[in-house]
Amino acid sequence: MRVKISVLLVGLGVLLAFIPGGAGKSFRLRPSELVGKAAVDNYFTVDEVARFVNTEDSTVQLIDVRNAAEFRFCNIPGSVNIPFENLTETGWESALNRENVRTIFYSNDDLLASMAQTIATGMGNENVFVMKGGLNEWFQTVMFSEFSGETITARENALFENRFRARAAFNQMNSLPDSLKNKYFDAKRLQRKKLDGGC
Amino acid sequence: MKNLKEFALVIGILLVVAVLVFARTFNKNRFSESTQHIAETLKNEPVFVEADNLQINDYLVVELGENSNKEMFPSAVKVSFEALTDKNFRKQLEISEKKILLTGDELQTAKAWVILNQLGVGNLFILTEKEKTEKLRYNFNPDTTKAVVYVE
Repeated sequence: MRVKISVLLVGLGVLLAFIPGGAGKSFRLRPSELVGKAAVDNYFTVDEVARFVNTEDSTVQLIDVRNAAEFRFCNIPGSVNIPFENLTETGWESALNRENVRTIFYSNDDLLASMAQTIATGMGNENVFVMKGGLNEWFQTVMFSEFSGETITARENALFENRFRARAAFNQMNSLPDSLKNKYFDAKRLQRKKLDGGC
Repeated sequence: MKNLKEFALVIGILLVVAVLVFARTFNKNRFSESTQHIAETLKNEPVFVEADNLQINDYLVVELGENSNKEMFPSAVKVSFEALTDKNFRKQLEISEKKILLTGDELQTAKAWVILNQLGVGNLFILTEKEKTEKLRYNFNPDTTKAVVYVE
């Protein structure tokens, strides 16, 4: 009996050794499923993201997929940094798949964020979006746009008010010295944990 | 012969496992690469090709979606996003000896790149219209005076 079990285990070991690309996890969705989901462009404009920032919308989490140095230099208030190369690590799964929370990826342009969105979708996460145009579009539209007409409509007024408020929040957050930024991030993290854990 | 009979059960189990392993490994309707391969590929080589630096003869151009640029890419392979997993299309990519260049809407080409990368297609590149794509083209100047006011 012992000999049979030994032979079985050795045989299984040999088979495992020949499985190509066995190490590491792969997408949960099948290719056809992922293509079907990814064919739809799920994105928010920078104006919509600015509104989420201003209202501190708790049903939205912003994820910056740039590297840590770029994130520390400047980022959209309330965003969390998950560098692109770390996105597939197991520790982030719970952060990406929060119930009733829309996850919005952004990078400097569209490409990395769109890749991150596809990875998150492939890993089985729902409600994943990108901020179209990335931080470059954010700067162009939210940070530097000015109203140039003579009369302003109510709609335009609301639009520019939204941008100015988001601009102020961006300037305020990113003008903090690094030590205060760290405290801000720690406080934010702690608040999240408390909220998640309940009391 | 006697030994074979004794080990029939073990051999049977091993054969079943072997069949399952081969079926899973060579199943074209599954992703074959690990997700870590995406980050590794991006780290090892630049995959974004700027239109200004394009050596067109080095690439098999794949146009995604409706928009067509016949003047620039007369011999491009046109494919819809939904047909990315189509057997004939993948065969075409496999037998091509050239590098593969994806063009079209940036959001869509980035998604297509990830999907094809995970399907095991190598030598994949994305054409970008922008110069220095994924670089921040604006400089943020911290307003420390305002920050002091806000902190107070």
